[in-house]
Formats: sequence, C-alpha cells, structure tokens
Amino acid sequence: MSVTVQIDVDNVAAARDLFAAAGPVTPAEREAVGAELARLLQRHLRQRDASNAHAYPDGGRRSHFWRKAAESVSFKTDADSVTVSVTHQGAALRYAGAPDGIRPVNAKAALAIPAHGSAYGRLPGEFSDLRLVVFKSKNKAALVRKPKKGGHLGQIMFWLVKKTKPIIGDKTVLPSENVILGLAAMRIRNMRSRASSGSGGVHAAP
Amino acid sequence: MTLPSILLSPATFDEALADRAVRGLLPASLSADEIMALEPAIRRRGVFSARVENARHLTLLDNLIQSILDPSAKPGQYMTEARARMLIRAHLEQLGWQPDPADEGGLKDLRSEARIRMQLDYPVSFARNFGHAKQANAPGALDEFPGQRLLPSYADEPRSDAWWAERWRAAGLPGPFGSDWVALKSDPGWSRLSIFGYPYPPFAWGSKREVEDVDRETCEAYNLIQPGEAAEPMDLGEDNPLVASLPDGSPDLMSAILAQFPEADFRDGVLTQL
Repeated sequence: MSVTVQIDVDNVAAARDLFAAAGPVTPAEREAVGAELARLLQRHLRQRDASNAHAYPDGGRRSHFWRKAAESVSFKTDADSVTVSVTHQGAALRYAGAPDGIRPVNAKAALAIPAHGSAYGRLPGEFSDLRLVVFKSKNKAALVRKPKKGGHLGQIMFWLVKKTKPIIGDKTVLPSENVILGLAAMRIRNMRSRASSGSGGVHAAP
Repeated sequence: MTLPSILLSPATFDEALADRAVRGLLPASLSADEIMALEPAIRRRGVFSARVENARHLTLLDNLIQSILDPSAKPGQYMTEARARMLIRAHLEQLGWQPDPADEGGLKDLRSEARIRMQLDYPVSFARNFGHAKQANAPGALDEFPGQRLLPSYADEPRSDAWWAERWRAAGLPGPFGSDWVALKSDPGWSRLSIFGYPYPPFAWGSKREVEDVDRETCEAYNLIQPGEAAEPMDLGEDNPLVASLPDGSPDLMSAILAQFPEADFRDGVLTQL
C-alpha cells in the first residue's frame, strides 16, 4: 500500500487564485509541479526522520524508516493531475492508522510486537537465541532472549499478540494541504512569469 | 471537493522498477573489487553479488529487491526488508551454504547481517535514485530544477566534510557555494564523485548523503545557468548499447565483460577468474 497526494492542477489554480494568468496548465508545468511536490514530500519525510532520533532509547540500530520513505517518493502526471506517492511499505499505515488494530493474515499465527530497541525493524526469525515465555498471570506471551549465565529471565524482545491495539493515524506524515497547494501554485506562477519575461527554459512557455 | 486528494492505494515507482528490469543474472566468482573494476554501464546490466556463483540465489535476491520496490502486494504478502533478510538466510540454509570459518560473520559470509543488508540496501537505493534521476530529466521538471544538491550525511559517523570536499574538487564540480554543494544535473562530475560511477546516490560504500533538486533561481544565482538557457539532462548512460535491454546471458554483455577481464571466463555460466 502507498500513500499518494493527487492534485487536479487546474483546480489548484482556480481554488487558490494565487496567480493571475488563467488558462490550461501545460504538460511541462505539470512535470514541474510534480518535481516540486516530490521535493517537498522528501524534505518533509527526511525532517521527520531527523526528529525521530529519540525513537530507540534503549539502543538498537536505527532503520531510518522515514529516510527510506523519502527515497521512495515518486511523481506521475497525466492530462488532468499530478500525483506524488510514497511507495515505501508501511507509510500508508502510519498515515491512515488502523482503528480496529491489526490481526495476522493467518488466524492461527500471532503478531510479534517489538518490545526492545534492538527488535525494531527486525523479525523474530533474525534472532537465533529467542525462546517463548508465557506469563500465565498476565495472560501474555513473549519471545525472550536466553538469559546470560546466572540470569533469571532474559531480555523481552517481542510481545506476541493476536491483535494490536488500535493504531491512530497521523496526518502529519504528509505536509499540510495549504503548503502543498501553495507550492504547486507558486511553481506555476514562477514558470509563467519567467516565460512572459523570456528568461525561462525552453519548455517554460505555456 | 477536497484538494488535494489523499489516496491509499497501491502505487508503483515505475522508473525505479525499470532500473531492475534491464538487468540479467550474472553469477560470478569475482571479488567486490573486481566487480567494481567493471564499467558502470556493465554493472547496471547485471544482477550480481561478490563471489555469488549460485544463479538461484541471485534470482531470489533480485525477486526480493523488486518486491521491496513494489508495494502493490496484498496484506500478508508485503515484502519488508526484515522479511527479505529472513528469506535470504533461509535460502542459504536450504542450499547448505557455509562460509570459510575465517570469514564467519564478516562481509564474505553471505549469511551475515552486514552482507545481507548490503545485498538489499544498495540495489534498492540505486534503483530509487535512478528513478528520481529519470523523473528529473522530464523536460518540464528539468527546466525548473536544472541543478542537484548534495545533502548533509545522516550517518551516525559521517565522513568528514574535508573528505567530501576533496572528492568534490577532484570530480571537477563547481563551488561548493559556502556550505551549499550544488551543480547542474548535466555535470559529468557527479559520476566522478561516485565511486560507483553513477551520477546519483549512493556515492560511496556507507555513504548517507542524498541529493535533492535545485531550482533554476538558485542555479542562476550561483551562475551555473543563465536566464533563458536550456537545461541539459543528466546522462544516465542509456545511450550506451549495453544498457539497452539485452536478453539474459547476452553474448554482447559477456564479451564486453571479458574484454575488461582477459583472465576471466564464463564456466558453466559463472564468470570465473582463471
């Protein structure tokens, strides 16, 4: 699943009224808007990655999920619109959330939820020293690292659950609509302004 | 009507997938250094990994990389990097692959986390950055964004700016302009900046420096392009006949490789140093 921002470019112009020159938006202008919004989205996601530096307080290798999401941003244009997508697995889930929680596709299986910094971005199968521990009093099960010599339990790496708690969507995964629309309109306005002064590139003229 | 519309549906990064589509399997006994000695255009045509001679394993790697790049799978079939790593380990176990005891846990150990991450992270990153470069060459995008900026590293222990400044100068790139490392996308210096010979990231092993588009106004301010001047596209090497889609195991590709490695041969389909 991906998360995609789609803009009807003609409507942007009309709705925002940010530039005076009316008329159809050219294919070159759509490409420029696509590149502009892709850069905006990449900057936004990289910033998110930088501000997530505290994510694993107990250590572990950072997966740089949002950096990878930024790297996966692409754009497409067609006759009516510009679409900019984050094609990295998991980005759509962070944006939309899962109000009913997540269940495993295989009803007999369990989901392994990371319980330690070193477990984030990894699967239990990537560890060679996990054992199953059932906490009967708490009605919980976990995958636990074998304890060091003389140790009692060992580090809990994953909780095993049949269903996660509801996951709240986070609309700040994407930049605000005003910023998206404003930049799209500004880019078109700049192109037209340069074209009218004769200082644009070869594709600038509508 | 809500503007813009937010869609939660499968979308593909076609240009990134195209980077994988032109590649053929190239089992090889060559070391990483020997593979790096191949022409960048030849490397862009192959699916290989240092000293991986097993075509089935290369097929698995290629399929996993493509699955990570294509998030259109159904729930339960999603390919995350963690799942891909697990499948690679399971396949090596199935093949009964064992490293030399002296290499265990290191980069020569195909089962090691460092090696598996390398086998996945770099091809995925190259494909996506090739995709960006390809999209950035669209005429309208190029006119408005003729330049490219080298962004600061996000590595935990980045190489020094002095290291990059030296490479930047040696590559013949302009500036930098204060702390702004910008050059036109068409500047051949970008390929020289990269140890891999491509004008897009990653530029070096372990490098966490990405790039972003730079608009015409900034490029004009840095005197990289003049008002009204047409922007030239980034050379992605696609005019090179080797990058054109060739069938797997094409004699053209094989002879191009052997021309670079007179002391190597294809033995049972495996590129082998004699």
